[in-house]
Amino acid sequence: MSAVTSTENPNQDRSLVEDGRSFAFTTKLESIVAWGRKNSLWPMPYGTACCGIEMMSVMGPRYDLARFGAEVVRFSPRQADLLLVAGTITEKMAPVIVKIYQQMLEPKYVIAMGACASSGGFYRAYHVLQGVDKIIPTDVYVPGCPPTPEAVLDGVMTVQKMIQENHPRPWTKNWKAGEYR
Amino acid sequence: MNLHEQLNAKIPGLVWEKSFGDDVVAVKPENLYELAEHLKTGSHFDFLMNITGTDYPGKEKRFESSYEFFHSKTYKRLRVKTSVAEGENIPSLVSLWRGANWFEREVYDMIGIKFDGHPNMSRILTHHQFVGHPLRKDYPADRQQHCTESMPIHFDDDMDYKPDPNKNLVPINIGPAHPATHGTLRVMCELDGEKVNRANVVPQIVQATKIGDFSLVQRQDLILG
Repeated sequence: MSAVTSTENPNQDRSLVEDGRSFAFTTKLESIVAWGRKNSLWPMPYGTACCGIEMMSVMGPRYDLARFGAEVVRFSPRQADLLLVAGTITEKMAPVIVKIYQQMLEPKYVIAMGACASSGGFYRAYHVLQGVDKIIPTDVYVPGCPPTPEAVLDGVMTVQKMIQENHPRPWTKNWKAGEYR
Repeated sequence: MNLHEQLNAKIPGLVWEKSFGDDVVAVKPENLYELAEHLKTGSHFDFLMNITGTDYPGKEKRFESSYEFFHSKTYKRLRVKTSVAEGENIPSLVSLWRGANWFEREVYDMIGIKFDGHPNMSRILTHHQFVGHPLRKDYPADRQQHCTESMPIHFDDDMDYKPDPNKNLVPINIGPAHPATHGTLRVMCELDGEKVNRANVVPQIVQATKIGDFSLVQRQDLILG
């Protein structure tokens, strides 16, 4: 260990100073909680169409979502905190996804992956919901049809950034199940 | 004796056409079952590939149902068409081809033709709160109807299903968000431990778009499963 500089108190316990240099740092509680949350997002994959295939590629070894701490894919919404809506959501499926969202524990985040989940895509007809944000609060929209894995990674990183900065999420306020926006 | 003569001798009022090299025959709804039975047993048109419905709002008999048959020996195709007015029914072919079950339900759901003798004449693709028939020409192309609540646990082929309180059976739903089914279908099961007691496959609607005739390859993929 290097010599103690002259600015330090010579009467201080030397071992404490050295230990302190090796592992302690100061932070705020909310920052360290956010840091923990952002690096342990557990996604619930909701792949209903071709985006689901692209999502598998994101989870796979080449793009490897595990690098962002999000490799623990949970098929139970009660264990997940990131809902990854990958694909067309039909009107018939809308109440199902609302129920899944309700079962997830706070804090929870939603990524709408691809054109269909974001806006209905090219299905503007009797059967497809025009964007999953009509029924559940959506944090990040990833454009593309389907989006490239890099774009999905960018979406996940955007969620991480929101968590880190404690970004306000007014769209989650006053949300009611079964209500169309 | 060729097929035309054979069938003309059996069934009155057949009108023959050609379309892209294949035979097309128009038949009255009351003779449809007899014709289909003869095609299956007598002429070896043993594969019912598809049933579609079409809406012609200007015609007196507004709805048309077409049946695509396939001859598994000669690889020939035959299309049978039959027209009905609104409110008229068509005999069901489920007793001849079990595959007709979903097709006829789909035609009923999309166009609104009812089939007599069908074991479960109910909607198949649209949700239970849907009103009307979306592929009719007078249905607005972008009119949407929201589904606000999901149905309770049920089996499509047994709407009166109630879990038996004396047995430890678990009703469980597989799909439609599972990557292997990716939205196309779900399987409603009843489990006894690890044993599947009963299973009922239910198709989900994903990629049926609104066009005049909805016999798309995509849709066949979804429906034929």
